[in-house]
Amino acid sequence: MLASLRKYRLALAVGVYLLAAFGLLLADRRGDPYEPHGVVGTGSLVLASASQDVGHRMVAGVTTWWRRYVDLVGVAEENEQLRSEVNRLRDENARLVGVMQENARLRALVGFQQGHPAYEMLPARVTARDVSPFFRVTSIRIESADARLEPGMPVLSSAGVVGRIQHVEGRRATVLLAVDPRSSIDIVVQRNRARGVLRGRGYDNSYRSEVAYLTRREEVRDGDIVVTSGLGGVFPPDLVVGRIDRIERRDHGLFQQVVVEPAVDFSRLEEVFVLLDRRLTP
Amino acid sequence: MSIVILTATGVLLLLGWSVLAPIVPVAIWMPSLVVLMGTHAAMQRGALHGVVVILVLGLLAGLLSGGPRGLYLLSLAPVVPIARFARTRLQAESTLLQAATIIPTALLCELLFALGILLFRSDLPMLAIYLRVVPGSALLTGLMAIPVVALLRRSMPDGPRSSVLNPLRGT
Repeated sequence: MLASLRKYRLALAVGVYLLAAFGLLLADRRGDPYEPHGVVGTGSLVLASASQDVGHRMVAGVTTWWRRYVDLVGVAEENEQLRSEVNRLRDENARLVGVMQENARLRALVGFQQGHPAYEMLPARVTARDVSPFFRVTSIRIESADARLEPGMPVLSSAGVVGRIQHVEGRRATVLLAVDPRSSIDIVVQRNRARGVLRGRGYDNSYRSEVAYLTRREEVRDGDIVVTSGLGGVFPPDLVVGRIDRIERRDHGLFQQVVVEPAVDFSRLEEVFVLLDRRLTP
Repeated sequence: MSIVILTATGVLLLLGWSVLAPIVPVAIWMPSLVVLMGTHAAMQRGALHGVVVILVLGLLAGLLSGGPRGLYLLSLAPVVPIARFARTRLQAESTLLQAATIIPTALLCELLFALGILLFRSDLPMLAIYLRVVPGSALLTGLMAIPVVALLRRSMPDGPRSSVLNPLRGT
């Protein structure tokens, strides 16, 4: 029996194949695609579906991992791009802030110039500062090639008196600041018109001045505004110089010692005016 | 034993492809893995292996596809005769020749299936879709056959039947 089966196993397989094919063909002829499968068909489908489910989970896991990896590569590139973008924007922001600050300073200068229409002023840019702890000198440069600078010309900023031109080399000049110990400017206290001479202190590392020759009889107070007197023929009158910061009255001598804090912040000075027309000054 | 391994491999291939198909960019073409495995089994191991593989994989593929299973099984009938003819008469033994045999076999089976749909189901729209898909699918089946057959031949060396049919093998 077993030998016969072995002998005709191919014929048997073909027979089963044809039987299954025609049997299923007849079943298909009924044309109902929703007809339930038999036990074998349903069991096969359950097993196949379970296998497919496992396979799907594996494939989904691998594809998800791969997509995340690819995304991560993309994120690294994007991160690099964003970092360079941030750096570029920071540079641009710093430049714009600088432009805004310069704009504000120039606006103040223009306002100062418009507030003093009688004076002919030439804008100049501060190019260097002093390196000595004792002297207070700064370098400026004018853009105009026509204007001629001369030693002694007053230099102002929108905040007040800066100093006087010391040396001239073409369009460059050094300015002796009002806080230099070699500088002397004739001033008055705005409130009571008490006269004195402003001199730079120079002996400590700060931008301070003191008023010399202010008699003890003059009553001055802390916070009083000090302005140019107009005497001496260099500075026009009533330009702000600073405010009184400290008063030292002595029991002896003719004069009192008054320390003045300049109106100009010399450590942040960037744009100034050179007063050209000295004939206008009284 | 080899018949069980071949059939199981075919089932795994069928299930694996059904899972991978959605993420493999082969457009609307689907390889006929039943033809691939059936042809390889018949050429490499004999007609009995081919018939069993075709029967089991054909039924499973019909179940998974939800199509007419009887018609599908009948359309696969030429697989074993063609494979045996190619092996015995044309001496097609190498992997490439097996793949070359699989392409026209798949084409014929798919066309028979399409014809059967027209005759038994009068489903013309479905017939148009099948006819558009058939050539590409047959070609894809042949291309897939190259690595699959090479792998199967490496993992399952030929039985005595092939040695008898090809006495020059191994010389």
